[in-house]
Amino acid sequence: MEEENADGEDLLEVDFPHTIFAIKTALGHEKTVAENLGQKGKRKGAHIFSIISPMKLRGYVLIEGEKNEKAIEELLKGMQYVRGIVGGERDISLKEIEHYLAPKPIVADITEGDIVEIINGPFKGEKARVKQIDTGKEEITVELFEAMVSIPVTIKGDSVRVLEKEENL
Amino acid sequence: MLACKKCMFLTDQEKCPLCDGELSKEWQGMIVVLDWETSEVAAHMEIRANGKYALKVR
Repeated sequence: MEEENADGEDLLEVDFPHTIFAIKTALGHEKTVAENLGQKGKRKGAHIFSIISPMKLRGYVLIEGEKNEKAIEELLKGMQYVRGIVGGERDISLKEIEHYLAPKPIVADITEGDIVEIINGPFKGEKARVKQIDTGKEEITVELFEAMVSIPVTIKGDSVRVLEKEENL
Repeated sequence: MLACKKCMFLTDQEKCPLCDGELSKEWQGMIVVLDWETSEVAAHMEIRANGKYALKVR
């Protein structure tokens, strides 16, 4: 849908519907791509509104902008760590990416009394029972099974894997 | 880069330039907002200024 003005130049001010594109990136460079894309988009006056690098979507960033794949391809050209647009006829809606925007707290699936395995840090591999949960700080206090004396240890909520839920015990 | 605990704005300054909030170095995910007035994602997240934001701050 291209028009030409009196000078024969393409008119770029065509209204495109809005959509969300998924861009494949090199692993571990998602934030760099988002930042660089932001700078380049601003410099070039690209019709993109936001670039999202969700923490649980490794190797991809999402671009919210006008549904003009050619313009996005042009913008991505020559950019480091970018592997291209993820193809597909279907549009990505805001509803589909909502869960990336407000990630649920890491400790949401943990309840007091659960038996967990510690998966990193000095107590890696140890089993423990959850005694207390701090949702705000996303920390949990556990008591190690193997310890001679029961000392509560406070660790990050993402340092454990739930082995048995309290209600099943 | 640090993230504001209140509005999640990412900054290299000592206080959040948007809301004066406390900053944290523990943050994850990122959204770069270029046009907050048009962006549906920014509206959904109640973002009212362009810039970089974290998706999660601890």
